[in-house]
Formats: sequence, structure tokens, C-alpha cells
Amino acid sequence: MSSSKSNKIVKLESSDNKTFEVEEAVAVQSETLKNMVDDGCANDTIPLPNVNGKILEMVLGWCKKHVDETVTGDELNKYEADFLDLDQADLYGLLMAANFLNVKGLLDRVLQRVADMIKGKKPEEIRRIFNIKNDFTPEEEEEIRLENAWAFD
Amino acid sequence: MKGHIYQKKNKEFAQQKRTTLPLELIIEILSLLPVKSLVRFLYVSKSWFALIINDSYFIKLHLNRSRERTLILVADKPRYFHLVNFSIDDRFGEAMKIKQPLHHLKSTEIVDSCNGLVCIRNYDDDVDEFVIWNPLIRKYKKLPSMPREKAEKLSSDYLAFGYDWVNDDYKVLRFVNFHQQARLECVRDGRRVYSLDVYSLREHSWRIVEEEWPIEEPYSLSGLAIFSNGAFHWVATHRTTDLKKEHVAFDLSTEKFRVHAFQVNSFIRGRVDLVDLGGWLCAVFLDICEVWMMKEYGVSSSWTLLYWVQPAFSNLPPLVFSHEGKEVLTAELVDNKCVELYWYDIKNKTRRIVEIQNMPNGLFLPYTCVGSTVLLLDANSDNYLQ
Repeated sequence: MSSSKSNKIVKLESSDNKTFEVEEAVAVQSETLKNMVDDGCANDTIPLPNVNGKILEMVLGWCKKHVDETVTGDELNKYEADFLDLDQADLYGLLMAANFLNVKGLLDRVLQRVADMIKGKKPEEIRRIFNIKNDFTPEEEEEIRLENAWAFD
Repeated sequence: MKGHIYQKKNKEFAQQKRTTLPLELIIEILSLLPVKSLVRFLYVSKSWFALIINDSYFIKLHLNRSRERTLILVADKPRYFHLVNFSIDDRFGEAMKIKQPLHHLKSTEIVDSCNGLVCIRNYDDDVDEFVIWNPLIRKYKKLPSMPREKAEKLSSDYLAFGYDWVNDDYKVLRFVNFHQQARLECVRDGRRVYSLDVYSLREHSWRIVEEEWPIEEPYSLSGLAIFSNGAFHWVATHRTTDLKKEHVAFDLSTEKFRVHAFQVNSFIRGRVDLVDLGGWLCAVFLDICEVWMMKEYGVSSSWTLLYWVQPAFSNLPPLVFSHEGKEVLTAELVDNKCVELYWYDIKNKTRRIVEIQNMPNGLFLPYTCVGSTVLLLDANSDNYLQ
């Protein structure tokens, strides 16, 4: 490791008041945290009111794995695949956290995973998952369905 | 009383917990979905409908990320096509026999495909009919017919189809020269002996192209015009001088011609086909099995050898790059009886045969088109008949 790297510790607090301490090198995998560090705002504990402890721990685990130079390419691939084997609620939380914290590699992977998970679902299920209100009338829905009947087989 | 309060608090908490994803994330997720899913999700809500069908930013984002492709196989009975849905990640579906969207006339050809749209031309001695078709979403738009000149019996037709990104328009170019293929001339006894028309999807009409065809002395053209980088391209071989080759380009937005020197391996005398691979204009010399790429579009000196294959690999130009660009999907004519598809590994010079169920017997020409939702709006639905 180069001696010019700071061994600073960054302190983070989740929405449910759990605190985490990580090395700066790990924390700056998040662009959001990196900006705070660069701007000198990372001296005290950084509160993260929109990320809960469980999700934050996951994200930090990801970041740690990605700065660990002892991890091989194959190990990393397996880690990433297993990492995303989550239930819908956790995946949702992870997506919001990865977006807010702007952890680039993680966000792309989660987006693809969510896309893969929802692609076969029915429109009604999609509304439930994304909390979307249906503003079509039943007649309008039927018209769209009929015109694109092939997509519903 | 206490139980009721707890119930209410839990319900509030549950509602709070379910936050709605920001629109930017929804757009990212939707742009990664296959076309069929997007069409199913049209009626999730009005804003999703507007996004998928009408938002040109979203449609382009989805198009650029799309790994879906459709292989269109045109056999000798072109009332039907065979379609194979595949992914450039290397998953192939089975071949489906479908009726082409237009009534078949004497001859059928696929002009080109672009952004998920395919232009089909059906013609006989009297008329030229065209349709622009998105095979993945099963929507098509029929163009106004063009009458064919009865004046000359022998004519050479050069068709092209592509996207004018400046005007967000799709165009078809129709160049009919009233001469034989091997020796095209543009003026005879002071008269123009060709017709040059362009169709615009936005205007939904044909009009005459004002620019004159740029080559005067007798020449022959490479068979197909292809669309790449905002222009249609041909290779013209002069028939009077030392068989000099030139590269003719027709810019779709300015509708003007450009002629460049064709500085690719000047010893080549045989046939050269142009093809667009991954957005790069490429030249395929089938006789010597070499594929060249114009690394910097518009710069004649940037033609570079992309790869070459061990002898006699194919009579057909390469189709599409794999997801990481390491392999090229190629078709080979085997014993003049059937067509075999394989992925060719550029670096290792090896091939992997592609097995597809329900392939048509006999010979066919393969074309590929990307999966997109272009033309979802304002087009006729297809009724597929098996």
C-alpha cells in the first residue's frame, strides 16, 4: 500500500442509529461520500437518514470487497452474484442506497438484477412492487391489451 | 382502544416504508427490459405508457442498451419469413415461421434494417411496394407505392433504408437506373436515365432527390447500399479507367452525395460488400475472406484490417458483433444446399456453430435487426398467420 494514502477512518450513522467505521479508501467507493471527504465534511460522524443499518452494512461490505487487493477476479464475480441473491424488500432498499450513495458498480448490478426480476411479471404486480397508482380505466386497459395481444401470451 | 392505536400506527409506518422509486431509477430499469416486457407494462400507468411509447430519450436509451436481436431468414418462398429471437449474450430462441406483412408480389427483398425497423420491398413489373416493419413489436407502416418505369426493360435498382438523426426521421432511397448492372450510365443523349427518389416517414411521402447521381462515366455498383453513420454507402467500380473503386455516400440529413477514394487494399479486384458492424462501416472482401473497418468514419485513410478468416469461409457478409465484440455472427453457404450460422472468434480464429430449432430447409438469406420499441406509436398491427 502506498504511504501517501491516508488511513483516515470515516464514521457513518444509519437511519436506525447504528454506527459504522470504515477506512477512507472503502468509503470513497461511494461518490457521495467521496465528495464529502474531499470537501472536508467527513470529520464528524456522517448521518445517513435514508439508509438503514442492514442495507448500509451490505453496501460497506461490497465496498470493502472491492478495495481488497487479495480478492481474485473469480472470487469477486462469485461474491457479486451471491450478493444480489436478495428478497424484493432488501433489493429495493439496496437500490435506493446504491443510488443515493452513488456506488457505481453496485448500482449497475442492482438495476440489472431488478430488471431481470421484474421482466416476466404482470402489470398488476409491477404496480404493487413500485407503488404505482393505476390511472387507466378498465376499458383503456383492455384496448391496450387487445392491440398488443401477442405480448400477453 | 390501545389495539386500535397500534393498528393505525403500524399502517402508517407500512405506508411510509413504501417510498416510490425516483423516476430516473425507473427509467434506468425499464431501459434494461426486453421489448416484450415493455409492451406488457404499457398499461401500468399513463406516465409509463407515455414514456415507453412516446419519449424519444427513453426509446433511444433502450435502443442503445438493447442486446436483443432478431434474425430474419428470407428463403425462396418469401411469402413467409423465419424469425429467430436471440441475444448478443448468445441465447438463441427457436425459428418461428411468420407471414410477411405485405402481400407477396413477384419478388421480395429486405432493403435494410435500422434501429429495430426493417424495410421490405415487394415488386413486380408494374409496381414497387414498401413496408417499414418492427418485427419484435409487430407493427408496420406501408409506404405509398411507386410505379415502375416501363420504358426500359432492363433496369438496375439500388435501395437503401436508414435513420436521419438530425431530423429524427427514417428514409428510404430508391435509385433506379435504366441500364444493365455491369455498366451503369447516368446520361444518354443528354437525358437523365435514372430516377432517384426518397421517402420520408415523417412526411409519409416520396419526393424526387434534387442532387444528381455523382458519377458520370460508366461504373458498376456493389450490390447493396448499406446504412451506416447517417449515410447510405456504395462502392462504385469505374468501367472505363483502371477499374478504380470509389466510395459513394448519400448523407440522409443533407440529402447530398459525397464521393471518396476507396483506399482499401488496392490490389483487390473482386467483389466488395459493405456492412455496418456495431456502428462501424466495414468492407467485406468475400473472395479473399478479409473484413476491413473504417476506424474513423469519413477518413479514407483509416480503413484497417479487422480480421481475416481461413480460406473459403462464407459467401455471406458478417451479421453482428457479440456483446463484448469478441465474436462475429457469420453465415456460411454449405455445398450450395444449406446455410450454417456460427460465431467467429476474431482473436482465436475459431468458430462455434449455432444450433437453432425449426430452421427452414434449403437456402436462405439472413438479416439481423435490433430489438427496439421504435414505431410502437402510429402504425398498424400485424396479424401473424402461421
